Amino acid sequence: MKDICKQKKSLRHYWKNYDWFAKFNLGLFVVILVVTIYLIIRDPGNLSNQPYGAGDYYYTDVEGFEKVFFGKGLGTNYPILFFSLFISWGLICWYFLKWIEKKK
Amino acid sequence: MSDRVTASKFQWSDLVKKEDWWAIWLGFFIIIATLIGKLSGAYTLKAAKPHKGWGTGDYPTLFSAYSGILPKLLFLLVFLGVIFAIGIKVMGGNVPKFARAFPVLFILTTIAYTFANHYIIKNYLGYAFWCLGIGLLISNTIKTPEWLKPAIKTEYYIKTGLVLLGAEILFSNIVKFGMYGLGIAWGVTPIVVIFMWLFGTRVLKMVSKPMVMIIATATSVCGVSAAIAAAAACKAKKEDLTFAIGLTLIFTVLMMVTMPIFVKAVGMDEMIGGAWMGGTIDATGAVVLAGEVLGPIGAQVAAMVKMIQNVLIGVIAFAIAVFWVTRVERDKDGPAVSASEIWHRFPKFILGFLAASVVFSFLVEPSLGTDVTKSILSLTKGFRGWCFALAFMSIGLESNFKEMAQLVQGGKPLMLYIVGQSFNLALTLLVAWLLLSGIIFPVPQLTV
Repeated sequence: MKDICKQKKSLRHYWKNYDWFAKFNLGLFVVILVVTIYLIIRDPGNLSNQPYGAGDYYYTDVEGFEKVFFGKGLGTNYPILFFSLFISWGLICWYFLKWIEKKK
Repeated sequence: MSDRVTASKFQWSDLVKKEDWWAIWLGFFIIIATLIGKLSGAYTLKAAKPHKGWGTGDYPTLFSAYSGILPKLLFLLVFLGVIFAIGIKVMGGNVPKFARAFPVLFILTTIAYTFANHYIIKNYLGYAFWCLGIGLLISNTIKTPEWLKPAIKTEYYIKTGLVLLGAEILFSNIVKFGMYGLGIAWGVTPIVVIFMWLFGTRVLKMVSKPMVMIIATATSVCGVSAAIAAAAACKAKKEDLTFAIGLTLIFTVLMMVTMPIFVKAVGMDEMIGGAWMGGTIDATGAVVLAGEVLGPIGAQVAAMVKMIQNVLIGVIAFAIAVFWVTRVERDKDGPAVSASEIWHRFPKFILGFLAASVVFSFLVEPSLGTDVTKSILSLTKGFRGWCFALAFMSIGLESNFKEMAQLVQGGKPLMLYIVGQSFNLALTLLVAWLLLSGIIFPVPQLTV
């Protein structure tokens, strides 16, 4: 019993020393967790009938990924322009990140 | 990921003495063995798992989850045990101790896979959750036994898994949704990473920079897979990865369920809604699932956008590795980092990761065709999944809540995720609307 009282005291002390930002975040986290568990239990979108799910992290994890991801698409008639844009945008962002880190 | 990787001068003996290189050799060994088996037809090298969707239909009971696969699981245990033991032996580790501990780690991981493959649970909580959960439960209650520790080789399993993942990154997929896909996936992703990096390091002033980068990558690219790649590239601690994955798992469920409901409720165009979900929901399977709720066009667009983000993992992991070596780890008052220093510090397994991607994208797929490539990937993905699952179980087994509590930092990781994901949602919706509403470019004509 003494131990429980001690723990309660320590928890109260911990809570008092927590700033409003941490208290807000903790409350938010609890709400998010409760909502997530509620959604899993209630299954409002009736998602459990589907063979896919949040546990399929990468596209190859998805059941029948060969059909899901390799169906009809658009493609491009300008592959050089396409890959130039891809590389250019990547480089611009890369140099920007390096620049702001250097500026710091 | 118990310790950060430290730089050392390269020696030729590193090729057989360092874990990074062994991850490359083992990854390529599995890929080549699978390839030979597939092309020759002599054998099929496949990693077994408890049947997905047990609890109903063909596999109604818990025991039926293992029906017909026990010999295959035993073979997998021996196969993985032997190849990992060879590496450990050459690197100077204790093989008998590893051999005693590995079967237990394997059994624990099999149990985690069993939970994850239940017909309802599989839609919400994957193996990462169960592996971390079981591992954390053991380490924080009965304590991880000493004799089990020789099998806990988190980095070894993660790096090998990442080399295998490299094979699945096919660059041809990047053109799947034409310029629309490039704009939505590639246009937004780096902006969100940079925004979250600035927000986490400058505004929230988070202590752990690797954690900021992992959360940023998981949020903007594709959840767990991207988090693993980013963590390995920036030499993160295991707790950083655990936090990032915990957040991404929770929010994936939330977004997967609520986003299609919201899209339908506000009457958003199916194509725009699909692109929005594809660009923002973390896990790929969750995107496909949410897309299916919208309709065939929404599902197709969501899958294509996510597929492009999947390809981006390779590019982003490489960029993070170089950024870390040249900027974050660099002595601020020292001279610029030389090319040789970059090479010394660079996590070498990333080269194997990229090499596997390049070989499959520009050699295997063009020469053997997409169908054969897909059938090879459907085999290698099993081994990749096992490597990651073993790594997550190892992380759980070596983590304790006290150490993790120090990283909570008043909820800063949560705030980073929420602010970053909100920015991601707003920007992706804006770009999807600009590209797919017909106000700038013609609306793409898709057939299902």
